[in-house]
Amino acid sequence: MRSDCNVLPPPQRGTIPVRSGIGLRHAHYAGLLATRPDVAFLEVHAENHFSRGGPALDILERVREHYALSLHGVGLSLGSVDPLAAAHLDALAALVRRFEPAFVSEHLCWCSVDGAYYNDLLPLPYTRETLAHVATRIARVQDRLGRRLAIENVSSYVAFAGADFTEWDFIAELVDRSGCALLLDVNNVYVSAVNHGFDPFRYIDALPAAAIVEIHLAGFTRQAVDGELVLVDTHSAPVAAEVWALYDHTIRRIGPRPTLIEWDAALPPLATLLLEARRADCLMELAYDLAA
Amino acid sequence: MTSLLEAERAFAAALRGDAAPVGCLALARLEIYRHSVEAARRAALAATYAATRSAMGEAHFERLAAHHARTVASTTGDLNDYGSDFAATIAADPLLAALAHLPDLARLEWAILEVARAPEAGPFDATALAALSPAEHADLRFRIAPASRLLVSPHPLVELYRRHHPEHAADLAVPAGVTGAVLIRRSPEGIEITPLEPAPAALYAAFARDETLACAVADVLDGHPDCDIACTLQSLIARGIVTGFVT
Repeated sequence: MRSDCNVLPPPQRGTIPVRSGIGLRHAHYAGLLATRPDVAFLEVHAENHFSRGGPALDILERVREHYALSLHGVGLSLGSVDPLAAAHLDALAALVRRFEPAFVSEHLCWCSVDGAYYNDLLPLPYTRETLAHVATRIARVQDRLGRRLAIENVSSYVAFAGADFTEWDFIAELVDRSGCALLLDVNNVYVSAVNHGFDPFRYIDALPAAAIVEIHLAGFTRQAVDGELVLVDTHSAPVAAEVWALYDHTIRRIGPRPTLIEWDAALPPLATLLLEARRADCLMELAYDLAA
Repeated sequence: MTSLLEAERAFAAALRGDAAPVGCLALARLEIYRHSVEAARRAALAATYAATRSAMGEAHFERLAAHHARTVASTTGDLNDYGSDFAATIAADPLLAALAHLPDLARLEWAILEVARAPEAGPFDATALAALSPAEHADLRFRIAPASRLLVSPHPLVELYRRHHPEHAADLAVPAGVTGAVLIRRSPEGIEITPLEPAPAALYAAFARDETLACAVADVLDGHPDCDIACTLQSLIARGIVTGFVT
């Protein structure tokens, strides 16, 4: 299934093979370009390339010659009541035009209020008001970008009282109303399931499978808060066994999807990251075989 | 249930430590978010201010970065924008008052970041300039390269930067002890940090203030009466520091 990376044709713009990819991180730039490992795609944090010139765009040009891209935003603040930041959206649109990524994604969260930004993936109350608000914002972003946006579920540590929906029902409704795609973060499902006491398999099974275009896998850490265990989505560790099991369940249910190994903190050598990606490939190959 | 706006405002107040959020469960877990917000801001500062960090020492940097992260909000969804005013935080710190060079070193590192992210400029259109009549020259406003900044300091900034960020600045060929104007600019080879003589620095600064050529010349000659303006301007154009003009 995998072939020598040196004979792979350049990726067709706008497509991603259904295999695993890794995040493009500064510490791996030189190693990636020197060895050009066989991964299906690179995921890029959009904001790290909002420059209007210089090395941050140069590196994207160089990797884009060899890899498909998935453009992943962390700061658009889709759930905020604050107006959508026009400059942020313009910068995102410029990147999309220039690099033609296969996917463009953002988070189901908010990160600013009254003009102050917290630059974190903060949880939303899953109410009818929030659903209408976020669906409208997604529609505006999709109109601006001229393409479908994939929305990622986030890990959460607190929940709001008085919600009208479970998170999975909220997401299903959001897909229905906005026509958005989904970036399913399986690790985030597991982390939130432990933190809030719901069944992660029920969550996965309730999502509209056809909308899921990409999957994230990552590692979490454990913390004790007021005497209870809380899982924290730190992207600083290997994918946990429980998350691999949930991933296996997911791709058997919905079929294989381009899958990203997210590792942002305590970054390991590139070889370690590639081994994690290979494990995702192996599970997808098994799922393919079962479906055949 | 409170409105979405009320929920976000209350949550933000809790992150700032002002109040408990309304209708939010598991209050102790909010500390995870508060820690994450501040850690991300501190990491952004550490990524930008490596030389400043080295120059002030780890303990002082961690203390000041934590203070800055708690007290100075981010204003965009891009953390790469965070920390533009860290030099002011350093300058206001009484424990570092004796290290007067630190705020300027921080300003240099912020300028490096801005230059790295600035747009490219096209080549200077000498033909268009030559086509103008001499009478039109006085009202021209020359444009400096977007990927350039000028800093003026009484401290030997380039030497300090080289000492505290050797892997980034090993090839900066600047004699020890040089003070005054420093030009930071992006070239195909990377970020260049070079001293700039007082007269060209004054001309650059006048253009950066969007002065007309007539005003800029008057300003430069006021401080540097022996300056050969035409020669200085040609040099800035030839070096790609002045990249255009508007009539």
